[in-house]
Amino acid sequence: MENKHKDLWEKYWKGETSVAEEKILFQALEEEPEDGELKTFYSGIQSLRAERPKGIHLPLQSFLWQKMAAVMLAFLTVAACWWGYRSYEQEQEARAYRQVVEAMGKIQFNLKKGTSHLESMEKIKYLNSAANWYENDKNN
Amino acid sequence: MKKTILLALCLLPCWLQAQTEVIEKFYEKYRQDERFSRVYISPKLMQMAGGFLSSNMEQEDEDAENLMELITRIKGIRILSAEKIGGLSLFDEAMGELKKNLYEELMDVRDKESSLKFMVREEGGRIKELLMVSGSTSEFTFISMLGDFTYQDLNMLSENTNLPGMEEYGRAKKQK
Repeated sequence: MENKHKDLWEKYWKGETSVAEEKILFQALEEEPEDGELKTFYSGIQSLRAERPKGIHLPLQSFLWQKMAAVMLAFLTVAACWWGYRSYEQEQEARAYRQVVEAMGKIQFNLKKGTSHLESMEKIKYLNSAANWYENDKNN
Repeated sequence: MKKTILLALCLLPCWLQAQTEVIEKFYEKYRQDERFSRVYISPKLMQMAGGFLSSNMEQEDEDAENLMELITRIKGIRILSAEKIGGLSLFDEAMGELKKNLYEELMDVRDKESSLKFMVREEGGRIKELLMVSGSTSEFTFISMLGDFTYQDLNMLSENTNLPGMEEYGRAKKQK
């Protein structure tokens, strides 16, 4: 058999055989009653062909949890950013308000300063009251 | 005559701009001077201050409500102040820079050690700018408050209004 298909085997070892030629070779080996190197080789190929991919356990069951965790993480990140920005904005608002109050306070203080001078003038005008009373009494 | 009026009307914006520039020039002149502190409260900051007040004010607080109303009418505040400085000469300098016919004098208080002047710029019966210049032997303050308000609005500052947050501000300043 080996002699019969010697040229074809030579071609096979060089990897130049077609699928039809390989079919001829392996069919011949199947029909071969004696065990030999080629028969062992063929049975090896057969067992390799018979191998099927084992069922790989995909983490499908944990997928939902991962998705939920990712959504939660994204939500927490957005919330933290928003909270940080809001705190910053509130701080800026408070700072702006303090500056406005400072300006208003200065204006108010100085306006009061001016009006207090007027109040003093109001009191001064009564200084002459005694003289007026005396004058009035004298006339009467 | 018509031409003269037209020309005067055309030049009015330039003149007003020139006045603003005078204040700005005065600000710029002393900007680098470390003895001066310079504050500019922009319209955006005024808006933020209003936001802070409205979110923190207690219900039926008349003073806060009045202040809020005033804040909404103020477009900006510029403050230039200095301590431990000869404020009287700066007061005279500021007065010299300003063209007084644009501003109406509101209050003028002078004594040996200090000079204080409040001036307003009116347009159509409404106050567009309140100017306060104060100088003493030890300090100087220049405040320009821009906006669109009435004398009624200013009353809240002249009366014994308790400015919300003023006490806290005073305490914080004392601690410094």
